Amino acid sequence: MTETAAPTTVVAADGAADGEAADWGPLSSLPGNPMMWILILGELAAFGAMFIGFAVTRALDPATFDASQAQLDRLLGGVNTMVLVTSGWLVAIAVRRRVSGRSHRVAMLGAMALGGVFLAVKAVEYGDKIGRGLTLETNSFFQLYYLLTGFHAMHVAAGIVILGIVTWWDSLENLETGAAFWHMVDLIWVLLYPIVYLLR
Amino acid sequence: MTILTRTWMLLMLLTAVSMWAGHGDSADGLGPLGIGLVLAAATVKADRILTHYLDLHRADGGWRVSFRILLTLLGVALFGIYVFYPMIGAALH
Repeated sequence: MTETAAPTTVVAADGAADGEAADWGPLSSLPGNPMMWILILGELAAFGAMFIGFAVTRALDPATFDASQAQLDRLLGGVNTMVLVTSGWLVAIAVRRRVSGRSHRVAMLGAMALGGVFLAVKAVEYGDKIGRGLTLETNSFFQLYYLLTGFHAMHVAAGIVILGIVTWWDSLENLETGAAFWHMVDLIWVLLYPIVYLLR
Repeated sequence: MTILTRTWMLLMLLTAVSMWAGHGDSADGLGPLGIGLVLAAATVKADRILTHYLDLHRADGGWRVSFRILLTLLGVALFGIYVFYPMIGAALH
């Protein structure tokens, strides 16, 4: 697949038919719908606070956290990271293809399929943990593990639905906005994976 | 090769580096170097996703700098908690 340059214009956030761009102040220079960037900033702040909370809770009880973390499958977590960044790559390619008037649907369907793979791997992980009696009630590590990864998995599921919607209702603004949501989900996971699975 | 494909390759490489740096028996801590390497890889990956996947390079320079500062502060805070908190705890005991 080849890609072309990104669009250089900012689409009016309200999709105004009269061509009059909405004034979003400093947000106007951001690509895609400014509302999505407000969501991205909010999500980054929320997850950032949860990551700091996770690290502080671990610092208070490192033995429990390290022993619990050893029960996780670091390889599966890493594979899922690769699955998600590849999915993000396909979505970015789809946007470039849409800009240049070429078909973007194969790339979008591939991205959605990889999102499904991510959730399937996550389900395998959860099944393994629950099968070994490692649940929300086990200790504070597993409470935070299920909270963080579960909250993120809900975003992945929502993201797949959003990608499906913008694949078929595929104005450039829709596609860019859906893509921005998916990249935010990708971004959060590349921070979550090392914190929950690797750092000790 | 386009910038998107180069970005994807870098993200895959940095993920592999993180997996390598973070592997092993959980009883052994990663040490400051390992923790720094894993966090640096994650921070660079997040920055590349913002810049090229999310097209932040199209926005005003102030946004790029602001997001970089935010990511760097998060990485530094996590590094401090993971590396220095045990030292402080040991010193107090």
